[in-house]
Amino acid sequence: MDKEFIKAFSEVIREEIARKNDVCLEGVGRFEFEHQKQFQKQYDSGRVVMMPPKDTITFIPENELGI
Amino acid sequence: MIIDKEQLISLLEEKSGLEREQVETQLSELINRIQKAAEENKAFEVEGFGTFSMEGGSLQFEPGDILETEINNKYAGMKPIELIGAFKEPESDKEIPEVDMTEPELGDVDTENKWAFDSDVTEGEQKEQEGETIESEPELDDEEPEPEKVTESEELEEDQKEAEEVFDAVFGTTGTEPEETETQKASEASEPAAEIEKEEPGDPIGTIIVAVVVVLVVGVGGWLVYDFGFSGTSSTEVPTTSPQTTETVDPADDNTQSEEQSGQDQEAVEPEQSSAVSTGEEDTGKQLATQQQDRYGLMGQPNQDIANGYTIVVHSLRDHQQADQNRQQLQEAGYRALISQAQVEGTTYYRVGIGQFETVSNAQKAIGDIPERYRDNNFIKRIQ
Repeated sequence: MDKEFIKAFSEVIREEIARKNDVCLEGVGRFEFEHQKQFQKQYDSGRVVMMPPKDTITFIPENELGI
Repeated sequence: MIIDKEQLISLLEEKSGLEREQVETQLSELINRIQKAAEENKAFEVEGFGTFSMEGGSLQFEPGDILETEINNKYAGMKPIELIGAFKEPESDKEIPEVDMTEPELGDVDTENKWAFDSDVTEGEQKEQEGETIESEPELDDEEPEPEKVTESEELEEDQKEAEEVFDAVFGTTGTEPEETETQKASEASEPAAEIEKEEPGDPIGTIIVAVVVVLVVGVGGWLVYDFGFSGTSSTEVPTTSPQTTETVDPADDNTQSEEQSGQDQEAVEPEQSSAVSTGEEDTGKQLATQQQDRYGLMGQPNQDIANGYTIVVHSLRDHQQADQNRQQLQEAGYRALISQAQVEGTTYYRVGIGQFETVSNAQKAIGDIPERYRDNNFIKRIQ
C-alpha cells in the first residue's frame, strides 16, 4: 500500500467527518460524526463539574449495521 | 449525507492525485488488510488515522490523537468546570422528588388492594385484628416514652458526673484527675495550634488561586473587549470559539463574577501591560528572525511552501480587514502569522493563526510561548 494513499485516505475521512458526513467503508463499517453535549458530572467526593461538549468520530462495524 | 464507495473513491482520487484504478486497488487492499487483521483478532493501525481492533467479536475503531483533536477542534482545550455551590444536595433533591412521585402511588394502590381483599374475604377477622392492634397500641405508647425518660435521666446523671468531675478537677479533691485535665487541656491547646499551622499554608495557595483567576479574567476580558471590537467596528467579528470559551470562564466560580468587576476596572491597565509584553517579545522575535529560520516554528516569517503543517488559531473573524490587522500586529511582534479561510455553516471566517508546526504535539508545546492572552483561547488547526 502506498504511503501517499494512506495519507489521502485518512485526510479524506477526516474532512468528511468534520463536515458531518458519514463515511461508509464497504466490508468494514461506517464512520459517523457524533456530537456530545455538555453534561454535569458528579465525582464521588461530591464535586460537581460541567463536562465540556465534544465532537467525536464513532465507528459502527458492518455486522452491526444490518441489525 | 452518507459518503458511499463511489464518492469515497472519487474524493480519494482528487486528494491523492492517483489514477482511479490505483485508488480502487489500494482501497480494496486496505479493506482486505483490515478484514484479515480482524479475522485473526489482531489490531490494525492506520498511520495518522486510528486503530481497528476486535473486541467482543465485533470490530472496534479507536481514533488516533491527531484525528480526535482535528474533529474536536471546535472544543479543543476545554476542560471540565467546577460548579461551586452545586454539591450533593441539588442532585439528591432532584432525585428524591422522582422517587416520591412514584412510591406513594404504588403504596396507595397496594394498600387499597390489600384492604379490599381483606374486607372481601374475612371482615370479622379483620375487625378482630384491628381490635388487637388498637389494644396493643396504647401499651406501645406507654412503653415508648419510658426509654426516652431513662436516657434523659442517664444524660442528666452523666452531666452531673461530668460536673462533679469538673468540680473535683477545679478544687483538686483527688490527686490524679487534675493532672489528666491538665494534659487534656494541653492537648486541646496543641490541637488548635496545629490546626492554625495547617490553615496558614492554605491561605497563600488560596491567594495564588485568586490571583491566577484575576489574571485569567483580565486576560480573557481584555481579549473579548479587543475582539468584540469595542475599540473598532461593531459585533460583526464574533469569533467562532469565543461563545464556548466564555461559557467556560463565566460560571467557573463565584469569585470570578465578583472579580470580573474589579477585572473591568483593571482593563484600562491591561493594554499597557500587553503592549509592554509584546514589545519585549518583539525583540526576541527579531533576534530569532535574524537567526537562520527553520522550516517550522513559532517565530519569523511564514513559510509559504508549507501546506500540511498545523497552526495555532488565535482569532477567527468574519471581517477580513480586522483579521488582517490582527495578523499584522502579530507579525510585527515577531510571530509567524498567517490567515486561512474557513467555511462554517455558510459564512466565511478568516482565521488568524500563529506559528507553523509539523505536528499537533509541537503546536501544543508552543502554546506556552504565545502571548498570554491567547494561551487559554486558541485551537490548533491544519494549515490549508
